[in-house]
Amino acid sequence: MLALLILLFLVIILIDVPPLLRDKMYRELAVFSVLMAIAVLYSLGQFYNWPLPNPVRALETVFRFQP
Amino acid sequence: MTVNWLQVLLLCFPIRIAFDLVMVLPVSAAPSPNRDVWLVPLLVIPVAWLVGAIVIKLGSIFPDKTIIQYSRTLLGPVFGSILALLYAWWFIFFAALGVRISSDFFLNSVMIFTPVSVLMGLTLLTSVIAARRGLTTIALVNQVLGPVMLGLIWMLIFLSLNRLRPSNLSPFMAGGLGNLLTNAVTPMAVCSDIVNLAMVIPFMDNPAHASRVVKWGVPLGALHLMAIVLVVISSLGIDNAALATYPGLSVARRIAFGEFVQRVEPALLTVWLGGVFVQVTLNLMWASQAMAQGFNLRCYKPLVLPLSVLVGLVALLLGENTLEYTALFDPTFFGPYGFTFSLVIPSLLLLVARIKRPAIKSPPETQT
Repeated sequence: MLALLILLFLVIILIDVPPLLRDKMYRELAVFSVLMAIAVLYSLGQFYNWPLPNPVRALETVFRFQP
Repeated sequence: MTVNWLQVLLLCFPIRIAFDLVMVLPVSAAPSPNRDVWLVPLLVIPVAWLVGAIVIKLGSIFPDKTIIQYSRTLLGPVFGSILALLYAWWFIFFAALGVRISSDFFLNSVMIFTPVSVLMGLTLLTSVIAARRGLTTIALVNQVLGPVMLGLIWMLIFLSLNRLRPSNLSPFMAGGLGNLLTNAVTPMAVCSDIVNLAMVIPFMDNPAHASRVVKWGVPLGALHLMAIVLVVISSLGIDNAALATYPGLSVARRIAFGEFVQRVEPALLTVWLGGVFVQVTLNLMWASQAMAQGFNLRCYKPLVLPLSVLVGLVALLLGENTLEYTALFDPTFFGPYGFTFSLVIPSLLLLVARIKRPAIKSPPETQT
């Protein structure tokens, strides 16, 4: 499963990064890298059961109305 | 890359109906069983019209900009980018909800031995391909899917007619108006996603026609929803309908028209799949566009793949099981959450636009 995850991320990087570098789209590359970093972190977190903050629970804390 | 108002209309309401055909939101999201929830769609109409009117007003002030782009114009780059991130999350959340509900549906009812990650992956893969192609491609695909979905929905409603028990709808208004209004909060918040029209208006061949989408799309969607809820409650009874995870599927399984029309669930699954595909694709594309426009990027397409991974992860984080994530449809959460994005933020933007209108000078946008 971990190997599949790594393969998935490599495929995504191979699809998107070379055109971004070729066209000198560094701003796009920066946003892409941040998103990929979050995706890798949370994917590994799911795989190894790391206690990462759950954005959905955070959302509930902010928006759930307590009558 | 333009679409006409009929294509946008088809993008708006058949997806919502496709979702409601299986989940039957007014029934499944009701905090307490209420046999009068078939009236909820009528309460949804004015709220969705109000949201639509605000979005159209903003669209008429900024006909060539999405909500993200005019947020930057109105609030400045810092607050505009923050709002872009918030809306990107809003779209990611809806895409994740679509992916999770559809995967769980197939896992619980049809493909019970398939790992959930495989079902999610397949849904996301098709959506990624379409989202990278852009709105015109999605609209063209939906131009084929939409009428098929509507036709199958009406076929299912028609075939259910001999199973209807009108006595299941009485007594009328026994729970009172207050109970009905409580039950209407979540469907109102979900259906007010007509706010997403703010991401489409600049890509319409005639942005002024957006009002037609709201004028016709909202009541058409609501009346279809009303027909589905009526069929579900009158054929299952409110207690059975409220207990079922997928009330629409329960109704479809009971359909038997003579000896030759039986087991019509594949028709329901077809509609469901079509609806999920279009809904997830649109939200994935809008999330990518929101990020790209928020950070003033030239192109949104490189963001689609990493965001699709995030959508899959959020879909997993929504809850451990069906019960846990359907609790998100509780009105105490979905009401404040949905209305913040669909009503409060656009209203504030409209207010700022009114105040700053004479001073608005559009900076050049490079977004594709």
